[in-house]
Amino acid sequence: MSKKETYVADIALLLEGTYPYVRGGVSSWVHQIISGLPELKFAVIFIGGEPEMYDKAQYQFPPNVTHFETHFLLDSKRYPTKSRRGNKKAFDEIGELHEQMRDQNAMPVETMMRAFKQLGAKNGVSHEDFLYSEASWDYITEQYRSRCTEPSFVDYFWAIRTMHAPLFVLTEIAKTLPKVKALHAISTGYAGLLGAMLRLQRGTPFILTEHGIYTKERKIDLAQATWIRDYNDDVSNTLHDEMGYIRGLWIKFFEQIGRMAYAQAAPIVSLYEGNRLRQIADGAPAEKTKVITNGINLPRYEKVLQVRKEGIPPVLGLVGRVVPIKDIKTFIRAMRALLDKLPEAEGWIVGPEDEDEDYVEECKELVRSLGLEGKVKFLGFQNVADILPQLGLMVLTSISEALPLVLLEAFASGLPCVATDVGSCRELIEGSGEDDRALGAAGRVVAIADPEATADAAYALLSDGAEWRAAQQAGLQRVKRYYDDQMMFAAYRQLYVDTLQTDSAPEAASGGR
Amino acid sequence: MRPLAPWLGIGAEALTLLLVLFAPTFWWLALLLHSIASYALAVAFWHQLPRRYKLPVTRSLWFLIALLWMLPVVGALGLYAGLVAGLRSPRSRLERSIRTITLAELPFSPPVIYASPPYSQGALRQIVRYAERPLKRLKAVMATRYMSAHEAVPVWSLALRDRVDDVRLLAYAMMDSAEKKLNERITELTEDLQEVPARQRAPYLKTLAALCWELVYHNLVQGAVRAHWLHTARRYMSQGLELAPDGSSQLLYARMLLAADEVMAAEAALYEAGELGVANDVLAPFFAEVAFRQRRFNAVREYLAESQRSGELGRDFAQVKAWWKR
Repeated sequence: MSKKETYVADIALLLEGTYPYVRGGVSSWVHQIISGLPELKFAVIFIGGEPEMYDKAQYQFPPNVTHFETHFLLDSKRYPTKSRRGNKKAFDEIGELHEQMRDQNAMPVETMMRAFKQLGAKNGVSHEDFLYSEASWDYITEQYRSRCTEPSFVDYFWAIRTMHAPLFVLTEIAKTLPKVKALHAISTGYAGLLGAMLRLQRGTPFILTEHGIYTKERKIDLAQATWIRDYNDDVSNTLHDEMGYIRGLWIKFFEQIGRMAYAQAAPIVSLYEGNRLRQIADGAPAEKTKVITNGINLPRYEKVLQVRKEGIPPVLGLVGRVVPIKDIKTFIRAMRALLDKLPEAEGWIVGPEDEDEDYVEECKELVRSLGLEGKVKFLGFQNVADILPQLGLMVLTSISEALPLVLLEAFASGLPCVATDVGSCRELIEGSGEDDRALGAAGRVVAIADPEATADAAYALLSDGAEWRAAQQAGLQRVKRYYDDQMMFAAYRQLYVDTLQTDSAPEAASGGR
Repeated sequence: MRPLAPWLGIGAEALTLLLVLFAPTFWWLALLLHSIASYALAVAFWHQLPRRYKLPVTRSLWFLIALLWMLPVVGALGLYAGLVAGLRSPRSRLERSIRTITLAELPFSPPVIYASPPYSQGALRQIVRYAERPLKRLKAVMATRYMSAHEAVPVWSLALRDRVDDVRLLAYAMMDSAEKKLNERITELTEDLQEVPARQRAPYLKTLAALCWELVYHNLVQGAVRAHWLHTARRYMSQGLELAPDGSSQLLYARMLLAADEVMAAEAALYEAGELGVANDVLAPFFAEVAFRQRRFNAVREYLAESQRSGELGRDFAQVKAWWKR
C-alpha cells in the first residue's frame, strides 16, 4: 500500500507582482476566488521584483489559505566573486535549448526538461557557475560574437545576466515548494514559467488564467524602455522601424517564456474572446483555451443601488489604481473639457496612490496646471460601495484592460459608464451576443487618449436623463444576466475538480505552437 | 628576499651537488638544501614571469617549486631558458588563435545617403491606415521614433484608433512620453519662477511660453486642453515681452494669437515684431496668412511676392501659396 502523500494545499496560486501586496485589479480577483471557494485549500506563492517595491500585505488571507511564500527575483544571493571552471556540457545543453527556442515552431518537451534540470543543479549550471564560471563566460562571449549586432559587449553581457538571473530564483522556488495538488498561474511571464517548470519536474497539473496579456504588456514596456540603449545607424537609408538587438532580445525572451507556459498549461483561461484569440496567436494551443468571464457579488451592490438618490449627480468617478495604464491624465483633461459645458461637474479619482508615486505627482501637477483644483479630487483608496451611490457616471480611461470589475460594479449599482475601447469594455457596455446587445447600451465607448470624446460622451449622458436611465437599466440587466460571481465560482470549481482528477503524469509531448 | 633569492638558490643547489657527489651519506642534508634552493629559485623565477602568468600567486609559485624540486640543477637551467625567457619573448603571429572573417563584398555602387529620411509622415499615415498586417502598422509607428513630434503626432493620432492593442499602445506610449517631457520642463520652470528675482524673470517667462506653445504647435493637446495651454502660453509671453521686448519673441506671440484666431491682435503683434527688428521676408508669410484670413486676397499676393522662402513653413501655408501662384 502506498504511503499517503501530504499536501500543503489543493491549489498553489502563482502570482507575479499582485496579491497580496498590491491592491485592486488582479489582486481583488484572486481574493474573490479564494474567498468564493472555501472548500479548497490555497497556497499563495508571490513573486516580486525587488523587496523595496512592495510594502506590507494589503489583504488579509481567508482561512483557506494554508501556505504563503514571498520571493523576489532581483534579490538573489550574493556569491563570493570567485572564478570557477563551470560545466561546459551543461552550457552546451542550454545552448541546445536556445537553438530550439529560436525556432519558434517547435519546443520539444524533452529539451525543456533537460534544460530545467541543469538550471541551479550543482552538476549542471549553478547560479555561481552562471555568474562566475569560465564555461559561462565562454558561452556568453561566443553568443555575442556570433549573434549580437550591436557594438557594446558590456550592454550585451549585463542584459544576459539580468535576464537570466531570475531563472535561478525560480529554480530555487521550484525546488523548495511543498507539495500541492495543482498549480494555477495568473499570468504568463515568470509566474507562468514557474508553473511550466513545476509541471515538467513534478508532473503537477498546471492551470493558467490570464487577465491582461502579459507578453503584450511587456512588449510595449520594452519598446519604450529608456534603460535599454539602441545603436542606430544614422546614415542608413532604411526605415527606422527595427528595434536594437538587445531590446529585441528582451522581447523574444518574454515571448518565449510565454510560449513555454502555454505549452505546459491546461486549460488556458482568458476573460473574454478577444484575449483568447490573442493567446492562440501568441502560441497557445487553441484546444486548451477557454473563456471564463469575471463576475461580482450582486447582493452586495443591490444595497448600494437602494441608497442611490433620485437625480443624476454631476460627478464623474474613475475608480482604479493611479497608474499610467489607467491613463488618469486623459480623465483629468476630459474634466477640463467637460467643465466648459457643465461647470458644476466634478471628477473623483478613487484608488490607491502608492504604486507609482511619480505618476501620481504628475497627475496632481496636471490638475494644478489645468486649473482644476477643487474640481478634480484624489480621494485615495475608499470603500467602493460608499462611493458609487454618489457618482453620476463611471469613467474608465484605461489604455489596456481585460474585463474590468469596476464596470460590473458600476452596472450593479445603477451607474452608466463611459469607457475606452480596450479589452472587453465594448462587450460590457454594448453587449456581446445578439441577446446581450438587445438589452441596449449601458453607456458609451470612446477611443483611447481622447479627452474631447470622453468629455462629449460624459456630457451626453449626464445631460440627457432618458439616455442615462436607459443606460442604467441596460447595465443592471446585463450584469445580473451574465456577470454573477456565482457563475464564475461554479466555472472555477468545475475547472479545479476536473484538473485535480486528471492524471498527474507529465505530458508526453507538447509543441509551443 | 627578492634580490638575494637567485644567489641563495644557486648557492644551495651547488652545495647540494657537492654533497651528492662527495658525501652521499648526508643525503638528508642534500634534500633539505635542494628544497631551499627550489624555493629560492622559484621565487626568483616567479618575479621574472610576465604579469599574466604570475596569477594566481599560490598556484603559479607551487608549479615552479614542483618543477625545480623534481629536476635538480637541470630543472633550474631548463626552466629559466625554456619557460621564463620563453614567456617573456613575444610570440610569433602564427601561434595566436586566429579567427577568419570573410570580408563582405563591397556593393557595386556606394549606398545613397539621404539628407533626410526617405519616408514621410504621409507615407507612414497611409501604412497605419491601410496596411493589413498589424506588424507593418506597428513598424510604421516605430519609425516615428526619429521624427519630430510635430510630424509624428498625426501618425500617432491615427494609430491610437488602431484595432490591434499593440499598435494603439505603442502610439500612446510615444505620444505620452513626448507630452510628458514638455510637461516636466514646464513644471520645473514654473516652480523655479517663484524663486527668480524680478529682473531675471523675462527669459524664464519666454521659455515657459515657448514650451506651452510646443504642446499646442505639435498638436499634442486638443480641444479645451489646447485652449488652456494656448492661453497659458500667451499669458507667459505677454508678461515676458512687457519685461523685455524682443523681435523673435514678439513673432512667436503673433503666431500664438494666430493660433487662437485673434487675427487683428496677431497683425498688430507682427507689426510690433517688425519694429523690433524682424526682417520683412520672415514676417511676410505671417502677414500673408493674416491677409488670407481677412479675405484680402490681393494683399496675400503682395506678401507672397515679398517672401523669399519656399513653402517649408507649414503644409497649410504651402498649399495656399501653391494655389495662389498657379
